[in-house]
Amino acid sequence: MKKKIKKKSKIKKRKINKKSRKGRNRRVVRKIKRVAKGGGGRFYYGLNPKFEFSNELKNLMLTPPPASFNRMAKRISALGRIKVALVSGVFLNKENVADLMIVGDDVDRRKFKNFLKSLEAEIGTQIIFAIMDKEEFQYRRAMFDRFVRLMLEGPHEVLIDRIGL
Amino acid sequence: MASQIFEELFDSKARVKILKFFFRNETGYFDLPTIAKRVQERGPVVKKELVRLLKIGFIQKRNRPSI
Repeated sequence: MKKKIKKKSKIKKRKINKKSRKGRNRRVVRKIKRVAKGGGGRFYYGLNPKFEFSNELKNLMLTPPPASFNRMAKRISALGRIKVALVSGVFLNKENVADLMIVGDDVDRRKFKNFLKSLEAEIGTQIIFAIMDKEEFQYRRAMFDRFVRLMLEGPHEVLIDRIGL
Repeated sequence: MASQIFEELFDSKARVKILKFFFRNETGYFDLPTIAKRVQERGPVVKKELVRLLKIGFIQKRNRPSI
């Protein structure tokens, strides 16, 4: 009696497996058909230029949020022995060579990568950044390096300053 | 702080990030996986928001990416 039941269940299992395999095949075929048709069967989303409140909403959403800089400064501080951090570019809706400059020693690259990812998600775009250690920064500053000069003299907001810029 | 205000006002962190994403990339067209990756949210969450934004005509869809 027991044996019979066992046999039955085995058959069932095999049937189910076969079924799902068939289903998968069908899905694959459907996908291939879609791709072959062109367009990849995929949709691409973009702003609708006819949307009435686009400009108003954009002004509202992209105004620089000064209070959030505080939180950012704290997060940057945790990345290593940070001496200087300043923002520009997208953070202030101004044009500059970079959006974020960090000067510090022993900056944890992995932590920084994660921080950058979440920051980019929040801001909604890629961030152009520069990291250098204190020595490099002071050398570049002393020789009036173009990049450092543009960051310090252009529109910017200082988040962290532990060397008295 | 300000982004927290928007999150409360719009009732969804994902939606705020998606709105910002589209404003920062005004002329671009992106597929779902790309958007989900760039705003760091899960696919289904993003899909739900996209459907809503489509419905009110904030965004549009086509089957060709940005050039």
